[in-house]
This record gives sequence, C-alpha cells and structure tokens, in this order.
Amino acid sequence: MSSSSQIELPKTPASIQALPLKKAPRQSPFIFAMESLTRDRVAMLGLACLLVMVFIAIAAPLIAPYSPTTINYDVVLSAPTWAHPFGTDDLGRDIFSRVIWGGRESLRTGYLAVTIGLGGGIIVGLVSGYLGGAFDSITQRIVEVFLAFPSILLLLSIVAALGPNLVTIMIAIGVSSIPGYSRLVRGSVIATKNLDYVTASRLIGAKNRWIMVRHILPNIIAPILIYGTMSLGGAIMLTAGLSYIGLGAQPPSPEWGAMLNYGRAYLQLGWWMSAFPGLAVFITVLSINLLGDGLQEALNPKMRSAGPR
Amino acid sequence: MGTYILRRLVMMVPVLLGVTLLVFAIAKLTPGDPVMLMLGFSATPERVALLRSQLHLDDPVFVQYGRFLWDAVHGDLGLSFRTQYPVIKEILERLPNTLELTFLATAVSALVGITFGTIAAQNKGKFLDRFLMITSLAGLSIPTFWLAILLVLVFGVWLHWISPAGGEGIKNLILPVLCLAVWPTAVLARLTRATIMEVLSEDYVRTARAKGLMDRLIMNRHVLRNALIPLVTYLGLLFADLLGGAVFIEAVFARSGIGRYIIGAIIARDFPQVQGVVIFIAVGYVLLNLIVDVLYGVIDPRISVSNS
Repeated sequence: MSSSSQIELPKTPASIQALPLKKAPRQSPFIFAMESLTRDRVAMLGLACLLVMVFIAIAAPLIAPYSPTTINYDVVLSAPTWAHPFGTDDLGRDIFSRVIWGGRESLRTGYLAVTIGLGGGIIVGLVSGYLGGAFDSITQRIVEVFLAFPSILLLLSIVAALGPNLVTIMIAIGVSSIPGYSRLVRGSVIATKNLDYVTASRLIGAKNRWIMVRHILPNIIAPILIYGTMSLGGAIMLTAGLSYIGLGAQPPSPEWGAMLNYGRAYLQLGWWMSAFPGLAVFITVLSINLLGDGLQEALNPKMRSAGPR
Repeated sequence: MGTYILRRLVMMVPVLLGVTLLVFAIAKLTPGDPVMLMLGFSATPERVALLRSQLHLDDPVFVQYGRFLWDAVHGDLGLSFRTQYPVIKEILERLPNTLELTFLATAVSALVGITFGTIAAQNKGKFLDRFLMITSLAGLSIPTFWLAILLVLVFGVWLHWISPAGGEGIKNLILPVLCLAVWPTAVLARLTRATIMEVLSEDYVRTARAKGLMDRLIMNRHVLRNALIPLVTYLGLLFADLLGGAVFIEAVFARSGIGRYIIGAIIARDFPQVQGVVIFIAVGYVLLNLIVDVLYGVIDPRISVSNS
C-alpha cells in the first residue's frame, strides 16, 4: 500500500462506465427560446441584414469608395452610374459613400439613445422595485406623470432646451424612454425578488446592492436586452426623422436624416439624393423589426398556438 | 360613473402639475436670456431692465412658476417671443389643420387596419396571412417622412398631380393622410389579428362552433365584438402616435399645423410657444384617455368603471 489513509472505493462496473456522459439538456426557457429563434428563417434574415449594416458602418473607412465630405465639382448632381452607384449631390459628393458613413452616425445615435434609456430605466426600476415601500411609491407616482403624456412632448422639450444637434436628440430619445423602461424593469424585479435564491442570499446577510446587482439583474437582463433591441429600430427612425426636420444632425453631416433634409431642395434635380438615405433607414429598421418579431414569438410561444384554427 | 369621472379628473392634477413644472424648469434652466432674444443684443440696458420687470423676470422663481400656472389655468399661455402674439391663439389657429389630418388618418387606419387584421386572422398561416403580416411589418419599418418624400417626388415632381410645395384643398390632403395612416394601420392590423386569434381560443367560441353556428355568424356576433375592446383602448394611444407623426408629415408637405409650429418654435428657441404646445397637447391627451376609458365601460359590460 502506498498510502494507508486512502480508502479504496469499489470500482465502477464497466457497463456503467461505458455509458456516454451526456450533459443534462439545458432547460432554461431563455435558451429554449433562442434555439427556436435560430430556426426562424425570417428572423435570421433580419439578424443577418442588421449585422451587415453594422459591419458596413464600422468598416466605413475601408468600404466607402470616396470621402463623404470631399467636394468634386466635376460630377455635380450625377445620376447613379457605375462610378457613383447612388449618384452624387449638388457638390459632387458621392451619395453611396455618404450613406455608408452616415450609418455610423445613425446607428451609433440610436444605439446610444437606447443605452441611455435602458441604463436609466434599469437603475430606476431596479432600485424602486427592489426596495419597495415609500421610495417605490414616490418614484412610481413620478413615472406615472411622465407616462401620462406622449413621450414625444418630453423629447421635444429636451431638444428645445439643449438646442438642435445630434447629441441632444440622442439624450432626448434616451431620457424620454426612461420612464417606460423603468416600468418594465420594475415589473421583472418584483417577480424575481421573492424567489428562494434571493431570500437565501438575504438570509446569509448579503447587502441590498449585492443582491440587486449579483442576483436580480442577471436574471432579468435577457428580456430587457431583447426589449432594447426591439426599440432600437424606433430610436434609429426617430433620429433620422428629427434630423430630417432640422432638429438633429446638421449639414455637412452624412447622417441619413440630415441627408434627406439636404436632398429635399433637390427633389426635382436629383431624386437619388433623397431616395437612398431613406432606403438605408428603411432596411435597417425593417431588419431590426424582423428580428424583434422573431424574438417576441420565440419568447412568447402562447401567441403561436393561439386559436383553434 | 360620476364619481369615477370626478376621481379621474382629480388624478389629472398631479400629471398636469408635473408637465407644467417640467416645461417651466426646462425654460428656466436653459442658458440664454429671453429678454435678449426679444430685443436683440443692441438693446439699451434701460430697455432690458424695463422689459424684465414687465415680464416679472425679477421675481423669485417659485413666484414666476405660480404666475405661469395661474395664467395657464386661465387659458393664457403667454406671448410668443418672436411674434408678440398670444400663444394660445396661435395654437388654436393651427389646431383645425392638425385635427383634420389626424382624424382622417385615424379613420383610414381603423378601416384598413381592422379589415386587414381580420382577413389575416381568418386565413391564419396561409399565404394571405403571411403576405399581410409582412406588408404590415414593412409599414411599421418604413420611415413616414421618407415615404412622404417619395410620394411628393412621384405625384408632385414627376406626375404634377399635386403641388410639391404644398397647398390647401382635398387634393393636397390625400397624400398627407395616407402617409400618416401607414404606421397606425400596420399596428392596428397586427393588433386586430392577435386579438381575434386570442378570442377564437375562448370557450364561448368553441361552444358556438359546437352548437353548429356558421363561421360567419361566429365571427360577426362573437369574435369581432369582443376583439373590439382592446382596439378601442389603442385609440387613445393612437392619438399620441399620430401627433408625433404629424410633426414630420406637416414638415414634408409644408402644411400649417401644430407639428410645424413646434418645430419652428424649437429652432427659434421661442420658449412660450414650446411650453404652450406641450401643455396644450398634454391636457388634450389626458382628457382623450379619460374619454376612452369611460367608453371602455360602455362597450364592455363586464368592466364596471365605478368599481375599479
């Protein structure tokens, strides 16, 4: 005997050893939903489209054939050609390159606006839902005031206060969506905070902040992120719309809405100046909505089987 | 019913206090002196001081807010910096144009959206359903202002059916209404489809089918009536959507209205105008939702508003 302290265990019979070790199938409803999502061809098409748009935006300096701002008086208001697939504007700038660069502005603004809204909503909703009591009551009364009138009014008020530019509308879209997000987060928190593992953590003396960040947040983050993805389309559309009416990005920015605004004066001379930036918004928002639709169906299977027909 | 409406009216008070406080605070916290905006930078210090005291800008902030609130309650939303004209009058002058646009768009979207949604639900899973749902998703995704530009391009610039610079009359109302109706039509079509499918799975529909009623009768008598309830609730929210849409549509079609008014006010930083529109619309929206909630009880006898 090499070591006397070791107890010899009975050997596992070979028949059992031969059984392949299978991991227990993961039963998380979220993972199940994601698996059903990957089988949804339309949603995957949306995801692919969205990824292409994001890639184009990130790789704009490598992809765009021309600079988005360089003026070239040799090709003023050229209709789409092989050299300029989307045509050129009144200053000879290549619309194709501008649309590619504009994706950066539009996607980034939309994404940051949603991040601001989600961030604020998570903080307010998490603390309010978890703490409950007087703090929750007061916060919810304030949230109710904000939800009681159209959020576009809050948005426009913020733009009025900060002055029209792209950063302003990013903040305005983000902040005006905080009340709505916080409601959503609060609901999830309340459904989670009395689960056994949270109670257990509280019993062993964990601090509130630890429980909120370590136990509750990870368990509610998936639906919140999905909701955020779905509202990204709206944020991008709003960004472009506000820039179009002159409240957002200002020329010479190639932001899609600002390009539409600029192209408006040249509707008679160059339809391509208005057609392509809008098409870019449309495709981006459509792909986000296709994905969001699939997500919703995957997460809410009740909708699928509804109806006896 | 009477107490319910009264209680709802009382509940409006904190909401409207919040809105007024918000717009007041935003105007106060914004850098820039309104007096300078009104008189220009070449004004003499005496004139500036005179106007400041005339506008009560030297009073403590809470006194200013109190006066602002008192005036607003009495229908006085102040004078525009730019035009020196009462804001409430400017709003009321433009209101009919916007209401005309939004009411027509509501009618179009309700008619088309509910019809499409019903057709889709009746053909669930078939080609027609798929087609209508993909079309509605496209309708949700197309930027309204871009669609409007394309329509102006085709019908105004190329075909000369309408004036591209905008104008009055029925002919120039068709395109704005259609554009504004696209988004709510798509929402209503999807909402109708989902609601009808939910109602179809109810026991009373199975009972009706089991006793041998014709599908058409079940649809008209049992399904559509019950499906109508959530759709009415949406009408209140629809107003907010349409108003947001009107801001863009009025800009594209160069129509005079509340939407274009507030854009101009924001760009010129004319705060009384901005405040006035925000308060005016918030009041209208809250009242409209009260009416919708009362209607809700009338349509659905199961919901008794006095008990809620």
